[in-house]
Amino acid sequence: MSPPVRRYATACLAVALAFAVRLVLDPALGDRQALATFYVAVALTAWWSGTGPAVAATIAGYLLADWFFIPPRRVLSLGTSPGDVAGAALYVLVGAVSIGITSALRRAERRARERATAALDDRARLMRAIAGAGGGAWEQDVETGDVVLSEECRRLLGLPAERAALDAAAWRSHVHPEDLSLLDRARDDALAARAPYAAEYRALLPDGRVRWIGIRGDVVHAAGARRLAGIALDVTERRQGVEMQAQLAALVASSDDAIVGKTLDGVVTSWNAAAERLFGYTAAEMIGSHISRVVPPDRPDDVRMILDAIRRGERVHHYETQRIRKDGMRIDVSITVSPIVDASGRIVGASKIARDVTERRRTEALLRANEERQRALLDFNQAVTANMGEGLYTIDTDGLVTTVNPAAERLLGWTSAELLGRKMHDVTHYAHADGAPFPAEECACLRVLLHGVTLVDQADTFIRKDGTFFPVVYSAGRIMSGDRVEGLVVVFRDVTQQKQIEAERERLLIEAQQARAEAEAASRAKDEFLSVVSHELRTPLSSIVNWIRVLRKNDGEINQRAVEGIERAARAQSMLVEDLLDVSRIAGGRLRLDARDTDVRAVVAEALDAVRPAADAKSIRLESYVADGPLTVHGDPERLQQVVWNLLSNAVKFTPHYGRVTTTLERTDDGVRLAVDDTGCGIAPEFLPRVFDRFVQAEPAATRRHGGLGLGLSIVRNLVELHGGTVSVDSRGDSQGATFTVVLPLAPPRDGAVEAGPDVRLDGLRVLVVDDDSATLHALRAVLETHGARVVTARSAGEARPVLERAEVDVIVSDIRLPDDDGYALLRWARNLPAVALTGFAALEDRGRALAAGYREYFPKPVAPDLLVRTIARLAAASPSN
Amino acid sequence: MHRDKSVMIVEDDLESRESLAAVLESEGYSVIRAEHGRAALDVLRQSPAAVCVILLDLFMPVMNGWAFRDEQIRDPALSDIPVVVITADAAAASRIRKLGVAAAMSKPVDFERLLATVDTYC
Repeated sequence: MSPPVRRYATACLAVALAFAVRLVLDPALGDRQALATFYVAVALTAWWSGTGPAVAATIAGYLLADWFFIPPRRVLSLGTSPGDVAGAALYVLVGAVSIGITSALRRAERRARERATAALDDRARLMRAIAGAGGGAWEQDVETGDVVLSEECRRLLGLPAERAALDAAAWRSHVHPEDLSLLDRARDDALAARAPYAAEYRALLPDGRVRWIGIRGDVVHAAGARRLAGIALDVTERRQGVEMQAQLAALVASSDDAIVGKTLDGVVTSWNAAAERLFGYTAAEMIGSHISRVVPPDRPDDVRMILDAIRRGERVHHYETQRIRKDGMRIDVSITVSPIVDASGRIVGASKIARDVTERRRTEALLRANEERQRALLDFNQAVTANMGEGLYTIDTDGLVTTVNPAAERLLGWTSAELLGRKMHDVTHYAHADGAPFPAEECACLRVLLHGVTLVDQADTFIRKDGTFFPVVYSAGRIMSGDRVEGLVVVFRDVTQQKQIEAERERLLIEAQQARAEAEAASRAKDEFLSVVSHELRTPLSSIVNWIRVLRKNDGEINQRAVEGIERAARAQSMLVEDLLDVSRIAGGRLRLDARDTDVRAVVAEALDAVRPAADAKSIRLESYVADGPLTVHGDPERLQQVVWNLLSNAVKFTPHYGRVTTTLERTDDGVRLAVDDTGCGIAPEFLPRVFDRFVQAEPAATRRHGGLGLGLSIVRNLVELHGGTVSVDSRGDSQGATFTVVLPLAPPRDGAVEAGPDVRLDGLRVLVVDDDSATLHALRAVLETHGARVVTARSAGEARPVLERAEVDVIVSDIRLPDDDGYALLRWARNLPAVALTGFAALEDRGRALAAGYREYFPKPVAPDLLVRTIARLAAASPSN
Repeated sequence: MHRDKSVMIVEDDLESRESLAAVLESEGYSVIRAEHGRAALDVLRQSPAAVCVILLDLFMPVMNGWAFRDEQIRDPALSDIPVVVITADAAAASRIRKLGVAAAMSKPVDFERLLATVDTYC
């Protein structure tokens, strides 16, 4: 708007101009048309400067015309004349009309201008808005399909600046092929309906990306061409949002969990398919209803509690409770409720996810029960394996240890920790009992693993940590898990003790059997012996009786034969009886030796003389080889002769006619060796060990070739051993002859140190003599007291005990066989006193046993007195107590 | 006394055999001596008719009394010859019965009974 001053100045100028023009024309016009030019001025002023200046111009124009041109000139008539009044009125009217028209025109023009300006502003704003929204403008020629793009639109489509205009083909090439028909259809519809249209399509950007573009357009008729014009927007995010939403909706719809939306008041706003299935109500039934329809009456606080939490903006996580289905069934549910917040952050509702946990609860209960059972079973197993006496271990299919119980630890010497994970075979089973390697492939356990056989009470050997072996009995079986082999369980026990007991039992059994067999054999031998004794005694007796009959009946030459026969028979019988008595004496320990230094050569010579007639009768040659010089032994010459005669007569008896019996007598390092060798029937190897037993003969009685009681060799052995010697036999076998060898110790040389005599003194020594035979006691007392000893006697171990306990003894001399307890027991009370054993049981094992029991010396009865005295003196001297 | 036949003594013990032979010879019998069953069978098979009675010991080497008796019974030529067992083994009595012999006597023998028996057959 121009400033008012300028508008009024313009009005003045217009009036002045009109006055000038009227003045110029005045000569032509005279008094007519005094106001003509002022009409124009008023109209122009009204046009240019508006109503106010126009009114002013009208008034000013009239006053000028009235003064100068309206007659009377130079007078202001002011319409006082009637002609003037009409003219003035016309003038005012025309002025008013001019002002009205121009002002109306001006208003119209201003409005138009304002509208134009506003339109311009709107377009700019729209373009800016479109650009701000990431959009752009476009136009398309409907006929050619060519497209012109705004800069924003071009950028939207990722096109460079030079491609702001695209022909139809170029345009279509940037549209996703699937969306072309959609775009075409939208355009055709819009053209047909002459209406705006909208569409969304996927633009293929030159860089390969896809962008969702939303376009809106309208048909524009311009310059005779139909065009489509519109805007394009990037709607990728919205499309993604839509897709997301569709996915979410699908998720909700397809969820197995019931998903329920509700207001803060608990009114249900959404209800998915799973909710329908879970609760039995359809969405139509529930939406708008209160959620408490599915809440059990006994849990009224449930909903309130949940909604309170939601109002505080909290979530409720996995709240386990119960709900009621439409059919009235109670179900266990786990509920998670989250607040629904609107764009302004206000909590407007709650979304609830409910899951049916009835099955889970049941499964859990089952699992729990199962677990408890398992645990109970495990506890049971643990208790059993921990407390069982047998060792137990398990291995996996690779043979690696998985379990070891305490008993196994104890038996093997390994701790469980040391064994776990190790290959059991390599630790405890790597070798056989004989030390030979035991490859794992040969282990029976492998068979169990592979073939499923179960081993029961297998005897085997395991190896302890210290490398020692021990016998076990084990059982093994597979551990299966369904069809799968998990490993192997082995239960074993140490059977060392059992084995020992078995061995002991076996030994006892064998001993018992042997003892029984021996007893039976002894009994048989005795029976046979009795039969033989009877036979043998009757035979000479029969001869004697026969001859006496002959004597009675006859006289003369035959009588001489009879008497000789009687003599021979009586002698033979006498010897039989003598042998029987000897055996009886030996068995009872009553055989007495009259021992003195004896030259064995004389003994052998006498025995050879005695046996010669019998040898001659069978034409047997007697050969003898005897060493030079005396071969003196300490012994009973009668008994020694008995020994030699027995051996010789045996040899003659078993040697056939024209045979040979050779006697060899020689000195050895410490004794005398006598060998009697024959060419007789020999002795079977199996009989050799029994040759010296009593009552034993090689031949069965019925076909016995040779007479005799079978006592001779038994007596020989006993006599030899009484002399401290040994006898042995050797035979090369049947019909190969036999050799009997006797070794006797040489008598000690006759010097002072060992001389038996009064110079060996036992003065002050206290000697305890224990024997149940009073004759022996008297004899020993006499001998020992003669040498100065103080003798205490006892008839039994019981009598001896108090004497020993009073410690009044220096040396003990005791019989082994005592009535109450044996002499071995006696030594229990004798502490370490030196003791001498005397025995009638002249058996080698007795000697060994006596010495093992603690006796220092051992003598068969009767002992030579001087030997006993010397021994007692020696033992007393060596004893620490003296 | 004239007798066609002899008494046979089968006995391994020389003293017993000779003394018994002396007794019988002193009674007028002729005696054939054998030291065991085998020897006796050898003699008998050569002249079975020569023996009227056999005095048989049981315990003998080579061939004992029982074995001799077995062979004798199986040999028809000898089986009829009566046998008198004379044994020192009284316990053999039960076994002797099975031998089916004319008589059994134990040593020392009862001469009256022996001579009566021998007399029956010779």
